[in-house]
Amino acid sequence: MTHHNHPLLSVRGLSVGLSDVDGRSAHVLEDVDLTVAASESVGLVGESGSGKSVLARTVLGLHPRTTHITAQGGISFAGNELLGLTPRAHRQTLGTDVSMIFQDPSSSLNPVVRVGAQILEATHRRQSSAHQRRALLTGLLESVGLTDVERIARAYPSELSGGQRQRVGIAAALAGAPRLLMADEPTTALDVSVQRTILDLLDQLRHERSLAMIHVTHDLALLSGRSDRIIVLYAGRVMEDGPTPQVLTQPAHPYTRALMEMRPRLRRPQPLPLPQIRGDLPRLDQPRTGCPFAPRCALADTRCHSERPPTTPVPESTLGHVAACWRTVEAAALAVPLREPAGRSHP
Amino acid sequence: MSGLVVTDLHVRYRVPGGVLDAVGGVSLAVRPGSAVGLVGESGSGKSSLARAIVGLTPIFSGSILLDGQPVAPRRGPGGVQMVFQDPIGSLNPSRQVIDIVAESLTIDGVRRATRRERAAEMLTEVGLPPNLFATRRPGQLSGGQAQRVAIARALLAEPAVLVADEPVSGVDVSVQAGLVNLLHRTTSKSGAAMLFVSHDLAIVRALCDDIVVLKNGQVREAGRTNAVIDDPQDSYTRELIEAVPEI
Repeated sequence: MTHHNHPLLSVRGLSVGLSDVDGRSAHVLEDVDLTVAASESVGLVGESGSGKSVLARTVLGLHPRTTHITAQGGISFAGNELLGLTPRAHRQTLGTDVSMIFQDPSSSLNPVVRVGAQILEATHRRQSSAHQRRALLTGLLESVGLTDVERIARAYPSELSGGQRQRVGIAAALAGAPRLLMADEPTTALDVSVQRTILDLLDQLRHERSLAMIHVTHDLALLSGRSDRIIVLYAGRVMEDGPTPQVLTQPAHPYTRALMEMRPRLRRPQPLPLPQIRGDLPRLDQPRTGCPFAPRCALADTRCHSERPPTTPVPESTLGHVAACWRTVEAAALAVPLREPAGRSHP
Repeated sequence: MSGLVVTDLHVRYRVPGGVLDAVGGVSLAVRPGSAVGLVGESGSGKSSLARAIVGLTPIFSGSILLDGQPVAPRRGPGGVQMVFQDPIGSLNPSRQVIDIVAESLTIDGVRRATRRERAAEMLTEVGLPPNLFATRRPGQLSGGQAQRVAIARALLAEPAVLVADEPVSGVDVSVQAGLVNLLHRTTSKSGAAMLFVSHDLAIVRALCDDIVVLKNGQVREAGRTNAVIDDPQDSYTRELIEAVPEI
């Protein structure tokens, strides 16, 4: 793996509170650190309520107008500070350097506009000649593996399959020649065979164009062999951050471990009941002390409930593998051994 | 044969310019107390088959028998119940949880107080303490809790067959594990036959004794789940298995 010195995106100590028109408020992110280097791929993993989507929207400056947000900390992109800017200035600073791929392309594409026009809209190059625009469009559609590009450019979103629509969504995301792609559950709505081709396509584009990528997902397995680093969020805090192989084979946080154990394996018999974690997500509208996972953690002691664990290097792991857990050492020693890695299913 | 037996089932839809055989001659059997996983991708016909079994979609030809008798009209004890993918959408938003669950017993002519008592017991069984959940309405439930209510409603009718259509898709992994365990525990206990429709092969492996792989309305492969997944004989089954990412 290349060593990444200069972060393209740097999120430092970011805390975000959201409140709605009725004045209800919630602490959705607390003291989150995240860096993404140029051409690095980071998997951002979390369940509902982890804050992963709010983090993506805060970086992009895309909060709905009806929510009032208070944010502390810092977000810089390519050296430019973004936090504190008006939403308009925020998006102008990012320009087309950051673009987004959505979970459901049928809801992010306009159903009554032909897809070719929608992709070109994202280029901000309306001044160029019709010939140049057509060449650009053909190039984009071909680069996402679509054939029969003339027909697809003239089609409406509903005339395409789910996989084709996601390819169109990716073409639109590439249109502005971004440096960072933010992909929010890009394959969740797709069949498993299509999912693999889309993930392969994203990997290929990322390498060809030296793109950085943040892949937001609830599925750790998707990131195996694909992302450089994994960041695990729970209740708005970073639980663990490290190189993908280390996080997947020596998870240091009990929550990361639970995420892996709860999900049944395909390639070996799975006895029932499946391992479970007790309890529910903590409420985000109430003040919290200690580790947010403590009420559900089998290893939690008194300190876990009362004092917030700092983010510290994971003992006996590689540089850059950190976790926020008082019991990391005990977790490693006490934990049931993880099942052996099954290896990638395809070369 | 006891249990659910589907023989040469065809479900046909009219589409612009002709007809579509969504289910084109499928046969399968689910024994009491066992679970069969019905897997396939979008358009495989798995949901059409599931809906035909509970009588929500008319069949074109073939038969669906429960203990040797036609299945569709039987909704009471010993009949067929269904759990859907979108639990909140399948629950009446204006009713309280306790009444939603108790409605399964309405056709029996059981007294209201008795119905509620049995619904409360079933809520406890599915992990929703009645003192916390009985008076809530569907809008006040998480996706996982709503699915537990839907499962409680289905099980209270004491069905011989439970058809579950993608019941754990779209929920978090921690919620998913709990629902899989719940379905396993309750159907094993009641002896219901379960047809579990899913695109998720790993969950089918954990939960189902047998598996049926569908593509374009046809059975591509069927057998014991462990044997089919460890040693698939059909090229499409193999493709599906190979596409699943694993750590």
